[in-house]
Amino acid sequence: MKHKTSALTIALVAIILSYLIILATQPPPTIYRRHVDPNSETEKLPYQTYLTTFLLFTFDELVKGNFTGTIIKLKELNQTYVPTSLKYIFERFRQLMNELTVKLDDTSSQLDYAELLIYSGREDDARNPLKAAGYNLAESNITYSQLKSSAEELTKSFMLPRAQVFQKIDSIQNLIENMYKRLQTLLERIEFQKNLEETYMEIQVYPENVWVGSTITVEGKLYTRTQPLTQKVVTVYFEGQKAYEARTSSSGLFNCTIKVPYTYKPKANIIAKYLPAEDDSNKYKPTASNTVQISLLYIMPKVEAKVLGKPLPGKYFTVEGKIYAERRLPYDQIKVSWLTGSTTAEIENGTFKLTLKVPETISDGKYVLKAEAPASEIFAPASTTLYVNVQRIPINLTVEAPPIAISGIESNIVGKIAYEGEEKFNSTIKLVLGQEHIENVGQEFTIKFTPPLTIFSGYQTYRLQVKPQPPWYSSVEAEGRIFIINPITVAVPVGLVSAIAVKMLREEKKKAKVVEKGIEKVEEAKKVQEREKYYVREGLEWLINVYWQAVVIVSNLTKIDMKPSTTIREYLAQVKEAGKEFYSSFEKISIVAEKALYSPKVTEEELETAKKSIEELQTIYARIIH
Amino acid sequence: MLESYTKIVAIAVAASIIAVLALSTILPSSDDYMPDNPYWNGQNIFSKTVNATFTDPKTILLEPEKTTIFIISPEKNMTEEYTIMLKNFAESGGTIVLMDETGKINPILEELNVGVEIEPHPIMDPLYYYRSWKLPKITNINPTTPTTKNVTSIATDIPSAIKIEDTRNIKVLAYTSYFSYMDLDGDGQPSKDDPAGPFPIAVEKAYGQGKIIVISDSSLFINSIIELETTKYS
Repeated sequence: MKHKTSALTIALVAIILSYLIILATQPPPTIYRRHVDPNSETEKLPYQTYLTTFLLFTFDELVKGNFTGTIIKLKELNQTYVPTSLKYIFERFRQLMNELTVKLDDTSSQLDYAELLIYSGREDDARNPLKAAGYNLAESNITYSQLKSSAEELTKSFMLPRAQVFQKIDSIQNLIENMYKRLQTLLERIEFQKNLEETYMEIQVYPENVWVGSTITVEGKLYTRTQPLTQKVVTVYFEGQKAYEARTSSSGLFNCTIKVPYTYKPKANIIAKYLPAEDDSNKYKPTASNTVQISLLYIMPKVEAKVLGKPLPGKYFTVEGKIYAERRLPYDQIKVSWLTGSTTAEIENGTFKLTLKVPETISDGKYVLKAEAPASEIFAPASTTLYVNVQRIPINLTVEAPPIAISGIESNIVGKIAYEGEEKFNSTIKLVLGQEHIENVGQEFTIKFTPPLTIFSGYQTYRLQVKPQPPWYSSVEAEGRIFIINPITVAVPVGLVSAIAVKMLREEKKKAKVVEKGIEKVEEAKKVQEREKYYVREGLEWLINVYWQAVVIVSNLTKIDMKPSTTIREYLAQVKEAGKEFYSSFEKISIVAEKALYSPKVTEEELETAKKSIEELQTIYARIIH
Repeated sequence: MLESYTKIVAIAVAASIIAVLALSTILPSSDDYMPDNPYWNGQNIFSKTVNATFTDPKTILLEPEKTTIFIISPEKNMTEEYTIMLKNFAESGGTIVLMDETGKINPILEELNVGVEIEPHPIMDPLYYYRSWKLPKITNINPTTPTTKNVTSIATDIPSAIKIEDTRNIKVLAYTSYFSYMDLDGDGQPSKDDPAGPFPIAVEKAYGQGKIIVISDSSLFINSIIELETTKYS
């Protein structure tokens, strides 16, 4: 269990170290990219000067009556950054501004519509929009008061200059008042127009079916209930566009000839309007005629085209087509557009044919080809669109790659190219595996490659691209995986682990040696004891034990061990300096022990001295260690 | 004794090899713009959303009209071979998006004859932004081009301005606001000598059957910027 834990610890340390080494050896980015992490940025208030300017612009738009512009500005204002804590205040202000703008815009539209109706002689119809405008204005007044309160809070919260903002807000009041005045004026105009004379107008247009580019005649009559209106200007409109201004005759009649424009659509509307001018505006009501619809005639040619053959990159293909119409076409060329260019093809007997080259570098796909005949007087423009399908001839690639490769050592990839047809050609082969290998090969090939030492060990994806030299064959690509063994990337962690393990091994060996030495020491001590026992006088073995007890105490106190080879006297000399306090007792025991070993006689007195001395030594030892 | 140490070493070596190999394949990249980097500066949201493939431009074998190539913050100049490949790709109906704020991309723009260049000074906006003036919010977006007609706002991260040298065939797709400024003196504040907006930050040039789009901010599609539009700061 202990070994497993050690192994895992070593592995973990090695992994971390090796990974850090690998990361550290990566080249630093060579380019300075400029960006920040939004989350690490401090939240900022909008710049007060700019925010004030923006608000003032918005008020200006409203005061000018540019309601669409105001709404756009308010939408833009909504895109400004507002810190979350101030969002409610800001949003309330923006909403009230928006509400007021919409109401005033609606009021303005109602007033405009009412004005149009009034000046068309439809005073009664104008009353409803005027009523709606009046209601809107009353509501706008209330919203305006709320807006002022909201602006107070806004200026305080965003620390905006109050005087500037309120100067503009006050001018909105003028706008509301002006609208009230306009409403009043229109109501008065309704009353005034009641006394004006109704006018009527009718028109006729002929022919009803007309070729484009030819002319039509418009005839009409302008009159009141009692009389024709003479010398009045009437405007004729063709499809909403002003086409002619006619003057009525003494009998209120008018007529004009209009050239029908080259408009290639089946129907067109014609209408005439009378708007009294100068003094007449105080006498007559304006009016509009009936709307007359005419049919337009033109020739719509038909264009057809098709691709002959198979368009292949680098080769030519043919486009063939025909163009026909009810009448002989006034032109003899047709425009053909393809890719980035266009060209013209001659029309012969209503058919055309041209040859186009497919660019060598074009990608496979469908490309739009358009054949266009121009508009020419009564001939409407005509065109046809078709897709040119460019498809290279496909090739098949079979690859045999080794399952394992070693970085720095050459390996082979074998491949074969197969395709339909007998044509022989060479191909450019590119192998991408850490680095690129490019070769020119035939249909069967062997690529020699050496995995670089810069890629990691493990499964690496290789890509093999085959680009046939004739552009009309498809390129093909194959992908696969090879297990790469990179001695460098393996050596880093292995080396680290080995180094740590060897170090640990050495330490363990050292420890083992110490233990072995200890065992040897004990055995040697035992041997010495055995050897010395032989010389101890009978009955005095206890004295030798006393001596060994004293040695243990003295070696603990002095930290000086007695080696097996050290004599009693040598050890006594060694501990003399370090053991002043207990030296005397130890000296006495040593002398008696020596006598017991080597002298023929030990007195009773000396034995007593030894007993006392060991007791003294024990007492001193006990005192010191406690 | 020796046997047990050999075992320890063997187990440790095996474990470390496996772990190093696993780490090198499992750990996501933290490099800028990497499609597998899930951190703030990576592009894995973008890559997943548009099903992007990270590829060497030389190895592209594509259907141009269905493909868009993004060249984001290129580190080196393009070889003639690359340039020809890109030209052919665009002329055949492909779309190329070139993104950079440092000006490093200017030689490529010149090679492709786009008629614009990146001015590398930072653009800041003290009114339309996300949290910090360094993160301008772009709302002046061209509604008439198919590229941007459905886009209402764009989050940016210290963009630059695009200098349009040749207006032929160039459509501006997005401008910064009138309140934005080019921080020439680098003090972060709108100063007297700092040019004021709006500045073009995205342009499009028709190129054969295809088009080239230039954006003066390479961080437009990093995870933290994409998330700005959909999370707390919107």
